[in-house]
Amino acid sequence: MNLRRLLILPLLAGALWSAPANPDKLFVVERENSALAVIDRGKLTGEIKEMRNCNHAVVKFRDKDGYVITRDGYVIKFDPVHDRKLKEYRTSKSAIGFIIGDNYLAVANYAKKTVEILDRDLNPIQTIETGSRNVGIKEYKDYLVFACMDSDELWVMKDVTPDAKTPKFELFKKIENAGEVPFDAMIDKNLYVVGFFNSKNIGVLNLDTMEYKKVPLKMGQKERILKVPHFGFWSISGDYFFIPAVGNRKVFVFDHDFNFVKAIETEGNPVFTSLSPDKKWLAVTFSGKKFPVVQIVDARKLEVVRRMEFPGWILHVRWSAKAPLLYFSANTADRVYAYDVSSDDVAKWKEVQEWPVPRPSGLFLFDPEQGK
Amino acid sequence: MKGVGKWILPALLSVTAVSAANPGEDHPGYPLFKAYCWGCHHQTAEAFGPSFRTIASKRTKGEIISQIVDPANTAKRLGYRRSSMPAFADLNATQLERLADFILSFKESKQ
Repeated sequence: MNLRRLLILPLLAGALWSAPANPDKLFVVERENSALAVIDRGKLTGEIKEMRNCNHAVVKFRDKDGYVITRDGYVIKFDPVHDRKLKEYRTSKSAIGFIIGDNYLAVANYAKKTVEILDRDLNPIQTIETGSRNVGIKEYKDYLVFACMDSDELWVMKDVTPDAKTPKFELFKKIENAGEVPFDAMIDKNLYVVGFFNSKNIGVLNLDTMEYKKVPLKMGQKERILKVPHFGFWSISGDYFFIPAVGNRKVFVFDHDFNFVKAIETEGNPVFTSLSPDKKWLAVTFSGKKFPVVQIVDARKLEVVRRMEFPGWILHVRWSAKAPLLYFSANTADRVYAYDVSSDDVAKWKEVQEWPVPRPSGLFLFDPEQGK
Repeated sequence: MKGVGKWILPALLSVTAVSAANPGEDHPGYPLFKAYCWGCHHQTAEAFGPSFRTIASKRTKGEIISQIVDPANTAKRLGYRRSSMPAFADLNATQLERLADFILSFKESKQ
């Protein structure tokens, strides 16, 4: 072997084994610090500060605008390109969910018991009095849909001025006795799917026909719940809905007609079920003593194929849409990790990068090209 | 640390590693809060369950311990239509005292 070949081989090997380039801009909620950490193309570049109470804060993007909703009820608009806070408006003393429409924001409040409509610059437009804490807020066509946690109702509001500069919502349909204590919802095309804390069923509202049906869940003995599970659009694959069981160590799988397919046994009580962009893998996080564990489910075979354990509580995961990367937020380890998930052999997935972020929780990707 | 392309940026540690302000973190009941309550309750803001500030303003220590141990019956006795709270009857007396004291410590909180 000549010297030239000796020099080239290690370079080739290095190229073959190098981590995927990181194209992402990631905003990380610092749960205890009133800040968003910014990780831009693999580099921790700093923080956006003065973001209020970030306990359970949620970040969303639309066009070139970023918005945060905080535990103490502030909606904050920020610039995700230049990483600057722009404006804030307090809709209540506690809020958890919101959506961004073309020309409005809708905030589901816990306290006070309203849904607030703001324009995209956070000027108030309308207050919808519901008499309940409100969760699972979604939009579909001219509808705004949410669930009332305290009254067990689903409300469908309709924008009666769809061509106007700002919307005006009126109550279009109310579903009473939907189920006991709705806690979150997801939407897939025209189907609004809502989960209940105290009922052994999910609810499915067809937003085209406004027909509502309860789909029973085959629940076992309910275990003590230490964290309310989350639904998300990411747990809807081409073939299946993945629903974390409340108080059971299972992820339920339904087809799109809501026929029961399988209950995947998991190591703990699931919190998040997060589907990879290629729909091949489902990452499942847990609560209680299993907070440090993440299980990977093969979303085609519907079986657990890998167990991962971290040095801290995993509060959130996020699949990159641009690169074969999976991010983990390890809250009690003060770390965010990136794993290379390019292999079809999940045993080969490995950590490729980590960043020191104090008390991280939610992970949110901004794509400046897509504006989302 | 392992893997290729791992970037720890020591210089940025000073930027990001600010102190983590968390109400009551030094209280002996805080670890119990993190282990059992944290997923549904916040110290000062309403979450899935009421805030500790709200509970502390309304309830005695005995009522709080009773609700932790036997929420189904306690909630009815206190006049609630229903309760979503699970029972924590496996906590011992010391743990219950610490947790109740932690909850009550938010009565005077100004945050």
